Amino acid sequence: MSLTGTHHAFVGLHEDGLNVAVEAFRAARPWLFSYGHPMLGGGAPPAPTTEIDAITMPSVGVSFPYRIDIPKLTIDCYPEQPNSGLPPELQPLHDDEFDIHADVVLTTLCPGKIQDGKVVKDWTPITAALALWLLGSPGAQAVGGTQKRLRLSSRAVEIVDILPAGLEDTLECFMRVVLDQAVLPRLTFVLDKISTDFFSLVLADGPRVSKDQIIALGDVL
Amino acid sequence: MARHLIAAADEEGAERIVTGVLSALSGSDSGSFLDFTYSFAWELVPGSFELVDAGDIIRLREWDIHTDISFGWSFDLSNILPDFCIPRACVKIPFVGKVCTPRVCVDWPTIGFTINLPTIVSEVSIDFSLKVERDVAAGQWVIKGLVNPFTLDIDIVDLADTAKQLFEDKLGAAMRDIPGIGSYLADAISRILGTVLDAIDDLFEFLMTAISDSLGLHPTLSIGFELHRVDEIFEFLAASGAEPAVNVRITALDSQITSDKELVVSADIAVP
Repeated sequence: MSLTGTHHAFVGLHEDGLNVAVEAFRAARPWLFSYGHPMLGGGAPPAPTTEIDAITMPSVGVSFPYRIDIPKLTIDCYPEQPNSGLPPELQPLHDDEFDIHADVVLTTLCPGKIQDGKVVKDWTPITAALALWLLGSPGAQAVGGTQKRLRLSSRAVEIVDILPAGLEDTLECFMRVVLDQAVLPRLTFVLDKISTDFFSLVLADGPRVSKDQIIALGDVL
Repeated sequence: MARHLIAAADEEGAERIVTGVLSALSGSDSGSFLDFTYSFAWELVPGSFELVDAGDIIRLREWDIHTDISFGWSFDLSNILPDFCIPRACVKIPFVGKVCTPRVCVDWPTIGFTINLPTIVSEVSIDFSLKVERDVAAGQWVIKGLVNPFTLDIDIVDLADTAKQLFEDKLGAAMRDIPGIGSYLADAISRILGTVLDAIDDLFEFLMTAISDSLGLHPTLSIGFELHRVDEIFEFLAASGAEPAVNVRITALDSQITSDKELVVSADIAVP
C-alpha cells in the first residue's frame, strides 16, 4: 500500500520509536521526569531532580516539601494496543488520537512535630502512586503561505482510582484546564517549508495519527 | 515488526530530489592565459527517471549534459607598433592670427577573434541503487551507491542530440517564423534528429537493460562507492545551556524501493 498517497513524501514515527525517544530524554535529562524539594533530592541540573518549592498553607508557618516522579511514561497511538490498560472512562481511543500513560509517584513530607510554630522535626514521608492518562491528538493550522502552526490538543485526562469520585473529577478538571490553557498552547511552533540547496519540502497533510504512528505528508517543490 | 521511523518519497518526489541534487552540478568557468580567453558552461538537462522495485534500482535514462565552449584571442597592436601623431601645421593669417591643423594621433586597434562552438550534448544513462552497511569499528552507518556497469552508457558526444541542438540554435527559430508549416517542419526535423539518429543507441540501451533486469545482474555486477556516513549515536536534540544533548542509537537503517514505486528509508532506534 502506498505510503505517500497523492503527495510526494511521507514521514512516520511509530509509537515504539516515540517511546524510545522518551526514554532517551530520560537518560539525558532525567530532571524532566522528577521534581522535588531540596529535602527530597531537588537541585539544579545536573541533579537528577528539578528543584521545586514546598507547598505553603495559609495561616500555617510550616511548608510541606514534596516530590513528583514519573517513573513510566508511554505513548500509544491509535489503534489501541491490546491490554494497554486504558481506563474505561477514556475508551474507545478514537481515530487520530494517542494516549499518554504516566505513572506518577507523589511523595510528601509530613511534619511529625512542630515546635515554636516553625521548627519541625521527625518528617514522615507519605507516598502515593497514581496512574495518569491523557488523550491527545496532533494537528496543524494554516498560518499563511507555506507556514503551518503545529499543535497538540487534549480530549480528556483521567486519574485512576481516586475516591470519592467527586474528588477525582475535581482534580481531573483542574488538570484539563491547566493543560488546555497553560501547557498545550505553549507546545506549538510554526513550521515553514524546509528548504535545502537542492529542493524544498512543504507540509501538505498532518501531522495525524494512523496505524500506531504519527505521520505527516509533504510535497517536494 | 514496524520500523520506528519511516521516510518515503514517491517516484515524482524522488525525481525532483535527484534532479535538484544533480542540477546543482551545473556551472560555468572562464579564464585567460596571455592573450587567450576561454569559457565553459555546462548544464544538466534531466531525462527519464524510474524507480524499479526489483533490485531497488533508481534508473536514469538519457540525462543530457549541455556544454557550451567559447574561446578567443585578442591582441593590442599598440603593443608592437608605436602610436604616432601627425604633426600640426600652423600658418599666420593677417587679421585672423595663428591657425593650426588639428592634432591627429593613430592608436593601433586591438585585433582578435572569438569562436563559440556549437553546444555539445553528452548523454548519460545509468542504473544505480542505494545500499546501507554498518561499519562496526567506526560506529557508523555507511550509505553506498551501487552502479551497474552493464547498463551504464556514457556518450561523451551524443551525435543525435548535438545535431538536434545545433539545428535548434541555428535554423529552428528561423524555420518556425515561416507562416503555416514552419513550426511543424521544425518540430519534425528536430524529432527526427533527436530520435531517429539515436535509435541504435536507444536500442542498445534497451537490450542491456532487458538483459540486466531479466538475469538480475544489478546486485551481482554493481560497483559500490561511498556516498555518506551517519554516526550510530545520532543527536536529535542539541545541547542547550546546561541541558545536554539528547541522543539515540540507530540500531537499524535500511533503504528499499517498493512495488508502489516509492523510495523508502527506515530506521530503528534505541536508548544509547
